[in-house]
Amino acid sequence: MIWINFPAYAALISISWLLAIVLYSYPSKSKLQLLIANILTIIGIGVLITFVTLLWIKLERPPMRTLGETRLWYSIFLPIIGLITYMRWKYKWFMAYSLSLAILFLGINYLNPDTYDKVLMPALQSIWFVPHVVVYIFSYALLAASSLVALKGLYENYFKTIDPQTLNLADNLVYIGFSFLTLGLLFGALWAKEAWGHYWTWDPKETWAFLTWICYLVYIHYRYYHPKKIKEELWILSIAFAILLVAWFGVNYLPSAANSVHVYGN
Amino acid sequence: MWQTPWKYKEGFFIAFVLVVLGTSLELATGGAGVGTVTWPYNAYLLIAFADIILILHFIFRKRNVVKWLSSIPSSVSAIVLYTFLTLFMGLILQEGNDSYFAKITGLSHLTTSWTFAFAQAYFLLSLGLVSLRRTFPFKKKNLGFMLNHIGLWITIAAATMGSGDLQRMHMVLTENQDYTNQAFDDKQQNYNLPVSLQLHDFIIEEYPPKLALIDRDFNFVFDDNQSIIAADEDSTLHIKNWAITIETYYPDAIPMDSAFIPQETNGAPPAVMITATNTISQKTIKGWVSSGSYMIPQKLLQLDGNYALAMLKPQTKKYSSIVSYATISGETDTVTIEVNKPISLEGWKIYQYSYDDDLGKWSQTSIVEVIRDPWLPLVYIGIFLMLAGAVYIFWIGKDFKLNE
Repeated sequence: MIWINFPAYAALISISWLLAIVLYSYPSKSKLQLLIANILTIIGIGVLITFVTLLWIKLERPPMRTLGETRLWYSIFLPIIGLITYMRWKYKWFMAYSLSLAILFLGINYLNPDTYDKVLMPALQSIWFVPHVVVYIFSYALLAASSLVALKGLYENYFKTIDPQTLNLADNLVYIGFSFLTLGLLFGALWAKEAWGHYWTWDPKETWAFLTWICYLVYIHYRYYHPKKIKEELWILSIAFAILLVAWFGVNYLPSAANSVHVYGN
Repeated sequence: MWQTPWKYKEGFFIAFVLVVLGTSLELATGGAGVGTVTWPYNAYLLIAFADIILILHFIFRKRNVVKWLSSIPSSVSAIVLYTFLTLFMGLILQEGNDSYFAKITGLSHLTTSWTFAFAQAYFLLSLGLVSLRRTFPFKKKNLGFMLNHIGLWITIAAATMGSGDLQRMHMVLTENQDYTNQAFDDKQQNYNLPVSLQLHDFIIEEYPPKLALIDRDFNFVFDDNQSIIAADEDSTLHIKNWAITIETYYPDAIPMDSAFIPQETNGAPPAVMITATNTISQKTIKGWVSSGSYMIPQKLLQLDGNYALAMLKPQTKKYSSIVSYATISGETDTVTIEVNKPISLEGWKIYQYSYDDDLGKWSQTSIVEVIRDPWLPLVYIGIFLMLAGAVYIFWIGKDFKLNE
């Protein structure tokens, strides 16, 4: 509807992030190289934030309604989390992975162009809309990061011995991610009471969001009790993220979603 | 199995027995489910259950079974059982499922099935015991743990027990009719509310309607990402070799001869005057397009043998009811009720729910939903404890040493 040149923005962002990935991955002791990589990452984030801001202005509503729009936020948060994690714990590989995932999400949006549309249904016109979505997507980005750690761990576990420190990074991400997941879930409940009359109706989206929450709960408890059963924990973490993806994208396609009030696509 | 200390096997065995027991009860009752427990029996039940947990903790806390019930293997088996049932709920259509098998096994009404009730009881038992174990004696470092676990216990217990007292019904209000306090539940049973309402005005705001190309079978034609144009836009839509420009847009118009003229009357739909130019033959077509309304038929603009331009029904931006209320305790006022902005009166919350769909923005009827949930404050206490717990986790992060 409204002509916004997403491909151009996406290309610019992807190029700067791809260059950053190369610089992060290429073994070298040069500080300048890493500095340039960081700057490229930040440029990409800045361009994407600009795009989302323009979109917000043009649509005259928060661009958080469709799945495509939530993917944009995800592509903002993931590199930010990557950058903070990298500066805090110095995992270079992690930076490269989170940028790749962010590029992948931009790519999905490029291949499935959204019909940008000003319509915001009355149920979404609430002060809860922005905090609910932002908190959720931030949490999803953190938990995606933890699942990257899990995949790396499973790979290491298969081909060589795993470094027990790997899971400590996953733990840090899961704890922060889980606290945001809880906030998102509870904000959703408080909002639902105002919008739909009840805080919890076992709508398919709610059911899957609850499943996601409870899977990370299993991870946290199992991990606490059996810190040495790393392989099982890596699997729990991977499955939990698969459930998260169903909650985010998959629900719309499930038979149980026939009556869902959470489907806002085009 | 069953040698102390118990571990996971025992936990999963208990979970399995609960599923078998629950499903058998469903089969025995023909899938009737648990049924609702209302005030004051739900409160008795909750107090009795809480007492059992307190007694188990304070008197029998040294027993192996009680120790095990507040251990991680028991918690994990309870969480996994819960997950498993929720997974079914997420995959199987719940409301409106006609399958006989799903009904008699409880799979189509999981939240009210015996299996779910047992799973819930096991979950709350384990969660309650572990909460008490970490609360007494109080240690500051357990604060986050307490907020999360006690908060979750209160939320789930209050939501479950309170569901029996939840009342949800509708009121149909018509403009300029007298005050009414009549509400109907989903079985069309009639109730007198302690609140009377009178509707003065029902208002709908709409987005500018959209225009799209349709083919001979009335299917929308999509072409890349620019397939739709809004009536208030001054850009040109390029689709299937046609360049489409909007010349005039009237939000409310009525047909006059072969054109539309602006007029705000009941049933006057939006209309636009279009110029469509074929980019290959340079042929230009001008004409009016309208979405129509309950009074005026839809107007398409035929472009060629294959395609026509159509206007979609405008989408609702906002709808609200201006109502006066009078409560049984003598309060009166005039307020606006809209989606996401319910009002609260005499323990009831009143929500903008629906209107006469056929008439759309000319509807003189507004349907409001009225809901009473006396257990809500208790649920909110649980939710706020959990919110505080979430903030605590975020702030402190992983605050314990792993159990190595």
